[in-house]
Amino acid sequence: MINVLIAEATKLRRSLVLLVAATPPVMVFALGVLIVASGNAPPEWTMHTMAGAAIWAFFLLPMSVIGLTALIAQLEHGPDTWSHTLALPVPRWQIFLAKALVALGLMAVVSLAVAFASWASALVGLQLGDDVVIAGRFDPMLALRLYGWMFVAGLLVMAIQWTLAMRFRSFAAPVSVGIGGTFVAVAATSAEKGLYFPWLMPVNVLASDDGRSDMAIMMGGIGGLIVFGLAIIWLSRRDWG
Amino acid sequence: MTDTVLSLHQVTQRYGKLTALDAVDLAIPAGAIYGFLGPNGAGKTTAIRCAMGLLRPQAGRIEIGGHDLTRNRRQALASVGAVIETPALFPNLTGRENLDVTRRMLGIAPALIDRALELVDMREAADRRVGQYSLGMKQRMGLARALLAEPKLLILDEPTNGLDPAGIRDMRSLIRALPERTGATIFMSSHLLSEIEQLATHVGLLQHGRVLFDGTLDALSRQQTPRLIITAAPVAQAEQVLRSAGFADPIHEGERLILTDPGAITPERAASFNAALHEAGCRVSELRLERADLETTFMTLTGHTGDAA
Ligand SMILES: Nc1ncnc2c1ncn2[C@@H]1O[C@H](COP(=O)(O)OP(=O)(O)OP(=O)(O)O)[C@@H](O)[C@H]1O
Ligand SMILES: [Mg+2]
Repeated sequence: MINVLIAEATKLRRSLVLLVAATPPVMVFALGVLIVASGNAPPEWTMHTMAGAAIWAFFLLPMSVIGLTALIAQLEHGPDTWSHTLALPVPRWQIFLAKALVALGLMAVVSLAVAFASWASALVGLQLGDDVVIAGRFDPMLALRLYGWMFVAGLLVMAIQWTLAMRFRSFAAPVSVGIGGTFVAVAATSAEKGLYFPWLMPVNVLASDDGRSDMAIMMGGIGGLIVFGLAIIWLSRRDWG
Repeated sequence: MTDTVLSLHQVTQRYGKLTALDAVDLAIPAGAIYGFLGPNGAGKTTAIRCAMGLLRPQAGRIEIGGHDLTRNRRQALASVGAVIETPALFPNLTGRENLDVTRRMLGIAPALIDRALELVDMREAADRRVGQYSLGMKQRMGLARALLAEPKLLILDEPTNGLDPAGIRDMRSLIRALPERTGATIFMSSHLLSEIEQLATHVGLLQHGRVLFDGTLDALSRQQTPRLIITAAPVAQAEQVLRSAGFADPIHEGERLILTDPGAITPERAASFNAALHEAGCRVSELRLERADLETTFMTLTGHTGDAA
């Protein structure tokens, strides 16, 4: 299995994965520096951390999921290598599991990079701006906790996007679903039923109501694992002709 | 009896209403270069996809090296290397990296990569990105990847498709040499009869998803219909003589008349035509009994008879 995982990761070499993965942290960094340096910074660190996390959860996380899952799937769809890959005497579930783990690994790296970029942007902004202060201290544990739970709550969205990207040769299907989901999440943020909407689960991690955020983490996490599991079984069994 | 490396028993594959394979029986004996011949859309790729476990036929059974493909997919496929349709390689990776990805999946020794590159003469280009390869190089690299695990059975789907004449020649001589160099049995599809004639020891003939012939190239040659070629003047009178002997429609080819009725043409019959033509005052300059070439046999078997074009 470890060999299959390495093989799947190798396929990313010289692809545009770096570009896709680097965009969110670069955006968060640039925006953060601008806001802080111009004196529009939140008055204290916790709020700065939360603001960065909100941008990630609302918008950049679902966009990163769309981009990275489509990229990984297109590595096989593009040159039409599925028939080679799936005719190897290797259990197919291992191949799909490896592809899922590569996607999740990249999402974890991007999450951490965004958390780091958010913090670093404030430091740089404070240096550049005149008389700008942010009260209190940066709490790295809070950042890790937020981004970590958002990753867990985002598993369901990741599973949905990954499955669509694997299944369909064109990236049109996963991209439309992803954009639609993100739009609905922005438009219906505080709706009562929003609790059950996959694209709002990472957002709800930030909810001031603890019950709501716990629910989001549980549904996103468990739902994500279930969808990943079912999708891997289904993709392994279906015809690839 | 020789061992059978790959066998299809009554394999039926439908795409919706279209029956792409209709109760197909094939047996590929060990050591053969088996030419799988059929016009475009005959179902060759479909059969190959079934044999690789990529499609699960609605009916029938497939065995590779004695392993049932459905029940023992991994054991069955462990002895197979394949290039299906165009050789699909990862363009962002080098040739060597492409082989390494497959090597890791298979869990085999890294040394096998150089051996495979050697076999297809691709060592020099191995460290260039596949995206920069010509089609001929991709075909070779695809072949190298198929040969990586030292397969007992090599499946090639139209391996010369799209290549220029020199590329076709190179690929054919490469394929011809493989059984001796690697010990692999080769199952290759083609829609070119001449290609199969040059390379194959065995032939399977497929049309509209049905097997029209499955056996040695020699056995196929024996099915070839003889034809009688007559050049006689005046040609109209000669035709008259033939008609009165019961041949309704001899084919005109310039000054020649060609008779193709398979059952009726025997050496004795030819001799009696000759006598009759003389008697009628025709001057016979040519009277020759000849076996039709494979092309004609192919056309006859696939139902494209008497191409008057
Ligand atoms: N995925 C598919 N869905 C529906 N029909 C298909 C599919 N693949 C093939 N067919 C049909 O099945 C028939 C056989 O196709 P196949 O590709 O096996 O032929 P082939 O002998 O390989 O032809 P060619 O020489 O053009 O490669 C064709 O009529 C084709 O249109
Ligand atoms: Mg084909």
